[in-house]
Amino acid sequence: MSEQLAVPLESIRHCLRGVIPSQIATCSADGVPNVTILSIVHYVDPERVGLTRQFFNKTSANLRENPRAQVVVVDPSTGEQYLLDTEFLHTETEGATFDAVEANLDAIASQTGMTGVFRLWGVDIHRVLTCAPFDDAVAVALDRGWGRTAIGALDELVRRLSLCGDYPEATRTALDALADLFGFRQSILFSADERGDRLFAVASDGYAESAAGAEVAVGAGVIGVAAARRRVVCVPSIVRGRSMHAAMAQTIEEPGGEEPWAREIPLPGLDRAQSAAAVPLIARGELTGVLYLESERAGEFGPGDERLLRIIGGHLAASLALLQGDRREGAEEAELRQVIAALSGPPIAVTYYQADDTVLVDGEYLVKGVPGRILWKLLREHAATGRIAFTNRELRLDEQLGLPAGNDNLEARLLVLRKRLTAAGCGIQLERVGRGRLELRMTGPATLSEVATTGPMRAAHTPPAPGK
Amino acid sequence: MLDSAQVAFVHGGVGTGVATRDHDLVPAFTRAFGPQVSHAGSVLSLCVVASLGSRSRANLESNGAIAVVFSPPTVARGLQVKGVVRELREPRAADLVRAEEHLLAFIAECAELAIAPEVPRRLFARDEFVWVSFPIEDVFDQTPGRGAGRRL
Repeated sequence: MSEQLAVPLESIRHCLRGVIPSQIATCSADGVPNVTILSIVHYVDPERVGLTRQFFNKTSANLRENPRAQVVVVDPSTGEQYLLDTEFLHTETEGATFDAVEANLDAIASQTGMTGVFRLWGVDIHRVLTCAPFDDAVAVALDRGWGRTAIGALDELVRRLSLCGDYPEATRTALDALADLFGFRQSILFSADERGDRLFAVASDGYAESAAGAEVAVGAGVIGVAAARRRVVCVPSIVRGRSMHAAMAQTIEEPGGEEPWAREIPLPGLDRAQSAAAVPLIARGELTGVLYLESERAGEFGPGDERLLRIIGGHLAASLALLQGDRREGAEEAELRQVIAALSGPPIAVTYYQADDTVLVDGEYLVKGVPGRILWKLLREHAATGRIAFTNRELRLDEQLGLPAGNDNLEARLLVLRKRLTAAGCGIQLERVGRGRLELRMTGPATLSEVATTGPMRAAHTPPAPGK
Repeated sequence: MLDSAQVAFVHGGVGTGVATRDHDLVPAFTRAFGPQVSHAGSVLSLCVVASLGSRSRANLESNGAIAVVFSPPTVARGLQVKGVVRELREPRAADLVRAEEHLLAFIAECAELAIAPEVPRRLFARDEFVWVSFPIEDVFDQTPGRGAGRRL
């Protein structure tokens, strides 16, 4: 056991976020000092820190010969510095500490286009012998983490979510509460798709443009790495030159060809994002989405926030899963209206591509995938029968939509579709008119055209043979 | 010896970290400002934050072994030089002016990361400076990547 530290490590966790890079001084057995930059100083416990072993070959060699080191960490908001005299204990190449550090490094590497360069070889565990201000005149900084103040905010978040009656309301309430209660003013909520390899944005807050419908591949960028690792990932400092927006744009796979929908739904982002966090949403042991937060303030999110973000993510995931699975819509099904509305506006040209369920309205990309398939079904039904009222239940039971039984994400898909229609202002709206009920509203008659595919998706659009 | 590109890098708005060590090989970290490389690229001088009574000051005075790393706040590139201090004295007015100019360049680099000027200013402990000079014995690449630590 080391003596009690003059400055407890817990009190300076905000200095370990690497906004201003930490540095480590070591010395070889023959007395030659060495100094280099550290990517991450990871808080392990009140007596130990973990230092990333990536590039600093000389540091590693020195520590094998002479375990003593001195590390400087800096408070990013004040410039106050703290010196940690340490003793190298051992290197970990697996386990909880390694996994936590690796997830953060992978996310940073992915964001900055340096995947493979930032490979983590190990985490060097050091015992902290002393921790003191660089300048004796410095008053010991208080931890700027959430601590006990988080309890009240969490209590209110739980209360607000418990009052939500449906999935869309819960998404809106959650993002509003994150801004009101925690000061997380830019947020995007993603839902995991059925295949588990992509995330699609269902709601966003604090940006000029809606993120609804934007997609991110699992494993790519901060958001994708958090999903793949199922770990909270915090990026305390994002280099301005490689802004979050540009980096995340690279992680969005472009559909091929010269088709008019080649412009994806852009993922909004702060031009001057300096700090970000991605929180995996896990319910019933499965990844259901990711909550993404970003800030223009460096150091806004760091390892000290992970516990708070895990609690927020856990409760949000449970709430949304509960509402996603709420299928109490049957009672009103018999009341479906079959209305042929008088449509006085100009015709709306809708084109559907079987290949990937892309829908264009008047030549402009609207949506693709499951939301595109749903919209196409509704429009065809409307064209054939004049119906404008539909239920979630019939969508779930429609085998041609191909929604997986038990986990169809229908509420999230409908939310994306409604938001995309609203954002596009294309003359088509899909309104919720009750629990599990939808109403199609159009300003003019739709002219529908379907582009068949000869590719892999052809079978999905081929009617089943009789008797099968 | 540093080439002209390396000298330009060292003379830019880089952050500067210094390592020294004591008789028992216990290392100490401190910062420095106003690095100046001689015309031939063979001698480095700079103002080190090392007040009387500090470990770094004692180390510099007793054995002089020193390592200095230069890196911009973005850590996109890094360079380390090593040597043994040959000259140590209180900084003169011109040394302090150079240190101030370096601080301003460093502040500009920090601004790229939205770091407020007060933060780098806090690192600038003008009253604790000691001016040192030493012949550059070794130069190492500290740029992140497989070449990190390579002798140049």
